Order: sequence, then structure tokens, then C-alpha cells
Amino acid sequence: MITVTGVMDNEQIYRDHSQELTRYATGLVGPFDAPDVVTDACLKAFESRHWAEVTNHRAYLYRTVLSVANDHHRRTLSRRLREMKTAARDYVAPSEVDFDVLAAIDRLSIQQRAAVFLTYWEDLTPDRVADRMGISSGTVKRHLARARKRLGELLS
Amino acid sequence: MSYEDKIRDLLERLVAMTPEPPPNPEEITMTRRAIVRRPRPMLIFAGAAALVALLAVPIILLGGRTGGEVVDTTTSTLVSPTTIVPSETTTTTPTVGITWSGYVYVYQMPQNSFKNDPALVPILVVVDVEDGDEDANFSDALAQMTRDGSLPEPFQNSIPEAVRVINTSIDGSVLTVEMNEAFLDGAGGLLADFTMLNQLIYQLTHQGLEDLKVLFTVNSEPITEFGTDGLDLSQPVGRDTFIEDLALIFVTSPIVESQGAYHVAGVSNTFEAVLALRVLDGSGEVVHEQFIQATDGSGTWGTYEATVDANLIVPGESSIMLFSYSPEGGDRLIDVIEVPIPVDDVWNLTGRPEAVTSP
Repeated sequence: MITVTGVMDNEQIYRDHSQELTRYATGLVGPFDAPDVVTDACLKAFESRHWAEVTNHRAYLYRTVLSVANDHHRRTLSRRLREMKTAARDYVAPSEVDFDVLAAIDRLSIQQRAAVFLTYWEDLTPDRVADRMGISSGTVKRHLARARKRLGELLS
Repeated sequence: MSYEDKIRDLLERLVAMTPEPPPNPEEITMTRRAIVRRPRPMLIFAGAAALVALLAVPIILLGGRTGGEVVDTTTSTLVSPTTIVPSETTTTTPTVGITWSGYVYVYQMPQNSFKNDPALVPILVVVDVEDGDEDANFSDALAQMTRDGSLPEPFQNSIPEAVRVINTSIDGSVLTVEMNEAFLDGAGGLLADFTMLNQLIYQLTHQGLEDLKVLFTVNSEPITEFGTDGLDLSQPVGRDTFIEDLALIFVTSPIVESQGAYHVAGVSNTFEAVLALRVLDGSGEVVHEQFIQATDGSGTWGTYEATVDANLIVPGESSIMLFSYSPEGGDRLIDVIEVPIPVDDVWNLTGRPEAVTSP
């Protein structure tokens, strides 16, 4: 059960990190689904049994966003396929939506997107990326290598 | 511009699209929700202690988004987060359960195969899951289809109705999948056990997770005895672990139309890495045939991909047949599977077809 104190703390934590978490989620699942992923991740974190024991809330929330993005990516396959079809037919894109970028990012798995985002946007070292993602730095390097390969022809 | 600069430029354009952060979900849920804890029937057992567990276990294990089923007083929450058309959720008001949509890995037995092994095929479905909540997943959908007998021909499901995936988590290259206790019994026979494992492994490692290994757990413990043969599953297993227990041609992506073509992709192990694809019309006549070169074959597993002009296919009537020609007989077809193409690429198994109508 969330205490009144806990709610207050969570409010502050949310204010502190919601902006960057939304940016991160956008890097993982794109701008359309990012708010849903952040909402789900924050609820999941706040209501976790372990939340009260968490000392680094930011790191925990980053990991939760990644985990929720993975689930989200799998579960929304059919919806995404349908939206892609609709977009191809008669959907008028808002001017700020850059579909080329979304198509490029779509070539990568969620893990690869996370590694790329944290490395090239947040400028973290492989060790710190590994810590943020909850994986080994070797795996981070593998994700980066695969991501570079998949983006290769597009960016060359 | 260096390669790394190009990636940074790509990210800059992506981050520029970042929307406003959503409102703090806790504030919303604290003010407008009423929580009803409705435990799953499988968890019901006798005794007062069980009653306590009944309230606690689903909250802990299912990792529910709000600590239980949320009855939202402003919009219907009976519709799955994966519902295709969000704008229609407010007009869809079933009294029980949710509508679940997504892909499920099912299988069919190939014709003219010397191996008695199943061919996996992922299909997109929309299913009304009775008693499902917003945490319902593919295992709930499959169980519902098994219960209803609504799985379309010629597909089959080896996962028993009582088996459920409770939650998943990723740690490095391992996807830990918590199953309920019914999983331990397997599917009722050695061949069915392997089919069930392959169905689950391919399902759980779909879409970008193909390289992950799956560690099945029950009550948070790795499994040392599974199914008919007491199989040791205490080490993570992957897509290749039980691949020899699959047909020589199977499918690994839902066959859907995009930009004027149907895309077919899968895994094969055929003579000289060649297989063939036919389009059959509603009466079974061949309207098109093409050869496909896989990445490997003749004893080694490879992957294949093909596209078929959408004009050749009438959704709801046509089928795509995959097979190889016998290396001995010339024109003899072997390892034949046939995948019907549903209307709109989705098997709509609900009683409410409006759930998949475009806005």
C-alpha cells in the first residue's frame, strides 16, 4: 500500500525524471507509444514490493522503462502493423513526425535501441550503459555492434 | 560527417519528436479508480490461509499495473492495451473479460514429410478472453481458443488449457519466464512436450528477442523435471535447442501484407537450401509459384524470406503453400505446409467484429 509520504516522494521523483524517461522511451518505442510506456513503467516501479528499498530511483526507473518497452514492443505487434498500413494509405502525418527516422530505428531491437540511445545520446561509457540496462558491458558492445551493422547501409 | 555523428544526428531527430511527459499515473489512479482484487481461478484453494494468499499472490506475481484489476470510472478498462483501435474502446463494453489481439505461435503437421514433427506458424488473432484482465497475455488467448475450439483450421495448439505464462523479465541474454504449476505436467507426451516448448520459446523470443535464451521457472525456481520424460529445463533454452523437433520448413513471422506485398519468412532445412512457395486460390488451384533460396540447407538450418505480390492473393480465400521438391522424385512435393490468409491478415475470433474496424 502506498503511504501518503510515499505518494509525496513519488510525486517528486516523477517530476524529477519524467522528462528524461519520456525521451528515453521515445528512443525505444517512438513518440506515439512513449507516454504509455512511461506511465506503465512508473506504475510498475511505484507499486513494486522493492520500491521502498530502492536507493537509485533514476537507475531503477530506466531499467523499468526498458523492461516495459520490451513487453510493449511484443504485445503491440498487430496494432503497429495495422497503423503502418493505415499510415501508408490515408494517414496525414503531423509535420513534426519524421517517419524516416522511425523506420530506421525500427530496424533495431529494443535492447539495441537502448544501447545506442544511452551510448550516443547520453554519452555513457559501456560500463555505465551496462549498469543502466542491467546487463554486462560485453553484451552492450554486442548490441552496439549489431545496431551499427543494421544501421550500416542506411547511414553509409 | 563521421558514422557516429550520423547516429547522433539520427537520435537528435528522434528525440526532437519526444512528446510531453504523461501526467503522473499515480495521481490519476489515486483519484479515479476503485480497486477490485479478483484472483484467478487457478489460485483458488481451500482454507483460510489460501484466502489470504488469494488476495496477495496475484498482486505480487502478476505484477499488475495497479495492484489488481482496476475498474476505471471514466473509461472502459475491459479492453486490452493491445486493442487495435484505441478510439473504439469507449464504445466496446463487454460485461466480462477483454479483447486481446496479437500474434500466437501455433502449429500444423506438414504433409509428405519423413519427419513426424510440427511446423510452427505465428498468426495474428483477435480473441475475447473471458475473465481476462488487462494483464492477459498470449497464453490466456490460446487457452480461450482451445476452450472454444475456435483455433482456425489447419492450426493446432499443444499448450494445455491450464498452462499460463505469469510474467517475464530480461536479465542480460536470459529471458526468465515464470509459469504456473500446470506447465510442469507438459503436454501429455514426449512429442507434444517438445512442440509445446517450441511454441513457447518462439513466441516468447519473437520480435527482436530472437537471440535470448529462455529460463522457465515455476514458483520462481528453475525446472528440473518437465513433462513426460522429466526433462531438465534448469538451464536456459533457445530457439535452436529443440529445433530438430520441428518440421523442415516452418514460419517465424506472421504473414501480412505491407506496401503491396505479402511477406513470408521462416526457417528451413531443405535440399540445397531451396524451397518453393505457391499461392492457391479458394478452390485450391495454383495461381502462382516461385522458388526461394534459404541461407542454408542440406542438413543445416537456414532462414528464408520471400515476398508475394498482393494482387495474387484474395484474403479470406487464398492460401500460401510452402514446400520443397523431393531430391529423389523431381516433381514430388515434400514437407508441405499451407497457411490460409485471413481477411485483413488477422483471424478475428471475437463475436464483435467492430473491434478490428479501422477508425
